Amino acid sequence: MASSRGKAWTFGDHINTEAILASGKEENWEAAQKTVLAYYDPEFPLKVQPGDFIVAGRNFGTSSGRPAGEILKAKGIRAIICESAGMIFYRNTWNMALPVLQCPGILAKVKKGDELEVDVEAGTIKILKTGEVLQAEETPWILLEIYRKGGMLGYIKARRHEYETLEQF
Amino acid sequence: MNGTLVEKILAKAAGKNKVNIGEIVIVPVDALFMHSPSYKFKHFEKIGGVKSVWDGERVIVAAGHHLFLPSNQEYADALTFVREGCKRYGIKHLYDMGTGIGHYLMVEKGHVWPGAIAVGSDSHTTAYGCIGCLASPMNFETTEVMLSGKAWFKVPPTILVKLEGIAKRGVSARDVAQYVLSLVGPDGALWQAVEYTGSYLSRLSIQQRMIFSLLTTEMGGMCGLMEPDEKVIAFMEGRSRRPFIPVYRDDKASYIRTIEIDVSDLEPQVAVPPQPSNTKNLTEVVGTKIHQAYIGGCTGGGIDDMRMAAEILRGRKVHPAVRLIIVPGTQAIFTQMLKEGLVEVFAAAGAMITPPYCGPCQMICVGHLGEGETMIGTHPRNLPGRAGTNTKIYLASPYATAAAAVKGEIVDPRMYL
Repeated sequence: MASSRGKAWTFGDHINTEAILASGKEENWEAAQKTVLAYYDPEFPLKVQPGDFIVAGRNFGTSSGRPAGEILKAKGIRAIICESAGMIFYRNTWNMALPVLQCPGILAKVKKGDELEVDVEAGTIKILKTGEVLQAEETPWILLEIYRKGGMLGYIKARRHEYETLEQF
Repeated sequence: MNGTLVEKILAKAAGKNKVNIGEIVIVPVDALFMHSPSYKFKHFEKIGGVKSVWDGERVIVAAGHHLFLPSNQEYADALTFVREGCKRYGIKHLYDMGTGIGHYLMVEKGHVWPGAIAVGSDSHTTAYGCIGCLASPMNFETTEVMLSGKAWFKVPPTILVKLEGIAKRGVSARDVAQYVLSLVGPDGALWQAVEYTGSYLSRLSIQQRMIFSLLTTEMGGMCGLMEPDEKVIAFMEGRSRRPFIPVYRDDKASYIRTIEIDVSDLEPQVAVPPQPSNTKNLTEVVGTKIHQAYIGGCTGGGIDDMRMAAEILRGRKVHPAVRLIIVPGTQAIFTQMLKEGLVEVFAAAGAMITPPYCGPCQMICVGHLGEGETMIGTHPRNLPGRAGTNTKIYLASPYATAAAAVKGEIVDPRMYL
């Protein structure tokens, strides 16, 4: 899959899922779009553009298992690159076909607004202002497979015959 | 092999002699927990042609986890959708309004057992590790688990936490667990398992042990678990939905890190905003004024928690400027409170008691904080955004929470013991 370019929004360590998709807003999409990450950067919900990236510190998406990645996907975020990610958020978000690359050292090298070129399959992040290319940690093979099918729903549909619980069309 | 508890459980489930750290294994799950499966049922509609879940006996829905009664029609309709979905897809276990918190119910009703593998859509699913079950949270992908009956895990390294000694009067399991959480930190167990052991732990009840397994998720852990002892085996008798063979760790199991704690000198602890792992000695925040106090939640709704709160509240009154909300974890816990006269103690003190559910932990049903308000509670989480904007949440033991409710500010609970 080809790489894509976009601008970075930067966040610190331990950004929790409440701050991405607050309790009680799961069903209220309009309110959720206005408050996403506003606690840490009030500009984010107003100015984020489709194709942008999130660059974050340690433990991004920690805490509650709610599907917080969906609001980031709705905002057009192309990928999240962080020092490390909360386990449930990481699993959830790849299953939505929104990649989360764990790349220790990234946050110190990227400033808000910097342009990046990200190749999800290769796990590479190029910082255009310096030309430096960083290599993310290896993604579990099963998540890459799910991602290639367009996320969990596509992964299930593509393997429909393997499920006794599904009618075979 | 010389495996840790989690390695042994995963190897057995995968039909292997040994699993390697970092390896991806796909294994059958024994139980799947969900509190709000609405969007998974919507996934089913998108997939089309879903006949049923893989095994209706093994899927457990606790619709009453977040609400004891819906406060508006939107919630009521969402619950109708869940009830109809459970029926349509053959889900046999639906715990409806007023039955309690899913994590207590999973253990109390025998849906998990020593050596079992459970997954759940709530991040606090790690709770069931208290009986020697591998319990790990995953949410979005539980749709797939419902159809296949399988889940994948990345075999984790394990941290061993040894707890020895006898805690001082007024220092509870929550204080000890809170202290462990502060040592490991908010991501100190990321993609790792935490195994708890030691003489302190073995003296605790199953529900008090659950505080340790449950709070493991606040360290980023994949699961938090402990070997089943005689107490666990006796507890499971007549309760477990399946016969089981307990799994134990090997004597020569190797751990990535060992943390040894003597609890004898530990002082009461408190988690200060904005993170559960942000733990201090309670004395550092003495004098902080509070507006609301909450005894309940999946780390404070057990019968021992209620007994501790009653020790403080017996013969005392809740401060007039404080709302004290007490929420039993399940109907069985509530029944026990009645038998022991605890409800009478709480009512005489001026506390409010609601039916069993999550309480004002996630602020979904009742008990929302107002702008600028401060709360202390026994629940697991105090993150920004969880209780509205510009609010502060402190987390502490039932002793400290009840004492703060009496004094109107955070106070060393031992002055009332």
